[in-house]
Amino acid sequence: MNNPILLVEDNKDDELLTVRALKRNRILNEVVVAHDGVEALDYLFGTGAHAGRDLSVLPQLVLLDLNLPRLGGLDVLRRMRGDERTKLLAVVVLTSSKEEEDVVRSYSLGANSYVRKPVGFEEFSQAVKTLGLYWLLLHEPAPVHRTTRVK
Amino acid sequence: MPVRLTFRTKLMGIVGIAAVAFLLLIAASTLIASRVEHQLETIQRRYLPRVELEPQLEAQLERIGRGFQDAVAARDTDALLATRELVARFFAQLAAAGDAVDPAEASALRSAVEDYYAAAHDVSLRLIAGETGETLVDAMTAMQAKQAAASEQLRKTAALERGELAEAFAATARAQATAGRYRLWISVACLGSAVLLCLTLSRGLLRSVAELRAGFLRFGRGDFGTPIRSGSRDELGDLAGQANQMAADLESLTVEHRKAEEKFRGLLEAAPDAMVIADVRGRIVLVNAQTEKLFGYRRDELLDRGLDVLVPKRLRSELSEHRTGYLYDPAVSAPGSGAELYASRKDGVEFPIEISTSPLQLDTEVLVSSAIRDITERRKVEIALKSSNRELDAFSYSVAHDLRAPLRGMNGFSRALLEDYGDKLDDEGKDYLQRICSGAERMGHLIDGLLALSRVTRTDLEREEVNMSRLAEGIVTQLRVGQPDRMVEFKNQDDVVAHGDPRLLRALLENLLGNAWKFTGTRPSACIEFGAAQRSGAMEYFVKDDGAGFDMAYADKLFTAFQRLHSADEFAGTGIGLATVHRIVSRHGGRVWATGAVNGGATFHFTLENAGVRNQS
Repeated sequence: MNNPILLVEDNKDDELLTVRALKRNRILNEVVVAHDGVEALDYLFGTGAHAGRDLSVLPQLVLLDLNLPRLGGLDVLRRMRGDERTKLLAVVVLTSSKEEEDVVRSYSLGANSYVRKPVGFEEFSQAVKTLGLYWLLLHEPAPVHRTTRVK
Repeated sequence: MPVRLTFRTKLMGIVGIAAVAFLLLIAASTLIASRVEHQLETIQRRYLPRVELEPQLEAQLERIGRGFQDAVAARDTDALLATRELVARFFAQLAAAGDAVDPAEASALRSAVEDYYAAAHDVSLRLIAGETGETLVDAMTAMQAKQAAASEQLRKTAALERGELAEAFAATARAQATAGRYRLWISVACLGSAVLLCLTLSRGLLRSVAELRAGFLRFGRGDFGTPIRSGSRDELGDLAGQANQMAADLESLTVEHRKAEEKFRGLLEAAPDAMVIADVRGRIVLVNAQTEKLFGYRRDELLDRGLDVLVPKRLRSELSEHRTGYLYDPAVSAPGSGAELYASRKDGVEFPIEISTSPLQLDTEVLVSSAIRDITERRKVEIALKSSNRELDAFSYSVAHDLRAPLRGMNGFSRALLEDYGDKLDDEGKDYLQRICSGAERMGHLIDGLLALSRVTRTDLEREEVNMSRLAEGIVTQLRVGQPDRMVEFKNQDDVVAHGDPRLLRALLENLLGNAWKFTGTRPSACIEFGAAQRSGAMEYFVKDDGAGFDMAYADKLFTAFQRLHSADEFAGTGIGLATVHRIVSRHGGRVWATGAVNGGATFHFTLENAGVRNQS
């Protein structure tokens, strides 16, 4: 029912910490990890190692690191925005610094939000909120109970 | 000392001589005239009365004789008495002749006439009485003799000798002739001396004038070595003296001028830049050797030509505008500063130049002096610098990422350990993990700071109008969001504007206001102030707080990277913020300084441009 989250990250530590942060934020979507830009595009368009993948399953959110081997994050973003299938996917850019240029370039290429590593709870929920994905991604059991009670 | 003989004196002399001659002439004329007059008077007095006197006196003597005869014939003694009157009239006539008659002769005539009268009277009485006889005849004879004697004496007395009169006239004529001669001589003498004097004078004059002329011609040619010989002691002599003085002054002036010119030319030639001096119409009037070398023209090929010969054809229309620009604004040294200027060699090769122009105000005209420098080499260096900057950029970027990644791991896993396995650790273990986290965080900040600092140097400065007040307000609002429970009053002056790079100015204010915020953190309530004032030609901005302050003894260390005046336990920080501030201010051409006291707050002042001149860095 819930589409996966595509995490494009080459650093194992960051991958582990991000997955952990998602879990701790009660986001239980499947996390697909691509370790470089080429792999990310293969997953998105069903090419290379992901040839023959069911392309109707598109990620609900792409967490995209910028500094990647082979193909950089910004190039991945550019390719995504240039393709009808992935044009409207929610993309949150992950960066390790506050390099202003990266932020500006990310937004100008159509990034939906921008989160600084390591992914902290506050920052992450803020980004998700602004994307309108909050209720889709966050498994918040409490509201359900509350709703039931009100009913 | 030689006697001065001015023209005035000489002319006065001539006039004097003429006057004396004229006076002499008049005197001589007068003298001669008086002599002639005297002669004429003598003639009139001595001779003219005598011309009539003899016949008159003879007639009167006859009348006397007839009177006696009539009286005798009438036998009238009374009639005899009348003859006495005739005699008296005779004497009167004689006396009337005056000086014309010799007095002795006159006296002799009178006694001769008296003798005759006495004899005639006696004879007449005897005749009237009728006496006859011998004695009477004798008496009559004697009377006749006396009459004859009187006649004789009369002739002797009154007769005018022709020779005498002629002699008198001749003397007069002689006197007149002499007078004429004298006049002629004097006239000739006067004229002669006057002519002589004039000749002498004019000869001296002409000689002096000729010398003066030759001298002036020499001076005109610039030959000041031979002075004018000023032999004469007159006004022309003075003139020559003054001209010599003038020539000497001119010579020393010329020498000075030549020296100054040599110096000027020396400086011009020694200049490391191509120096091109042009007049207001853009005509080249002077160039130096560097110009020949740089542009490949010979000097004579450039002189009198328009400046645009040195400018590439495609840029020529711009030149005239620029040139007028330099003239009206001497402060503009580099036209269109920032714009790249090009010059063109004789062979048409273009090269980048830097030009600095300044007007030369001369007495009569304004010249424009341009120092032109070939910056081809510098351009190359700049390009190399840019590429190395780009490399540095890439390096910084990878440093940011590569250094940060392990830090993130350290920090993230420490935190994960704390969060996931915190219940299995005692307090000491948790403290150690906490220290790992904060150490990693501090290093992250440090990397951020270093990156920010290098970014200040790397990025190009793009100036525009920046509303500093609005910027400050935004930064303080962010700081409030970060620590909502802090009690901080912010006094912000309205509409303080600056001309600078908006991103760098934001970083500047973020650092200063962030510091103010940080160092007032230990106070229950604090006040931060931002404002600006015009001081000695430049806008001076300040950020003031009433926080921990600092010891003024270390004021100069504030802006050095990694220098901290407070321990990290007291106030967190990397020691890079103020170094960044310093660099931003320097790049804008301004300066920054701080005043404060321990626990007395701190004020950071800064300017963003040199007084009056905008610095392009």
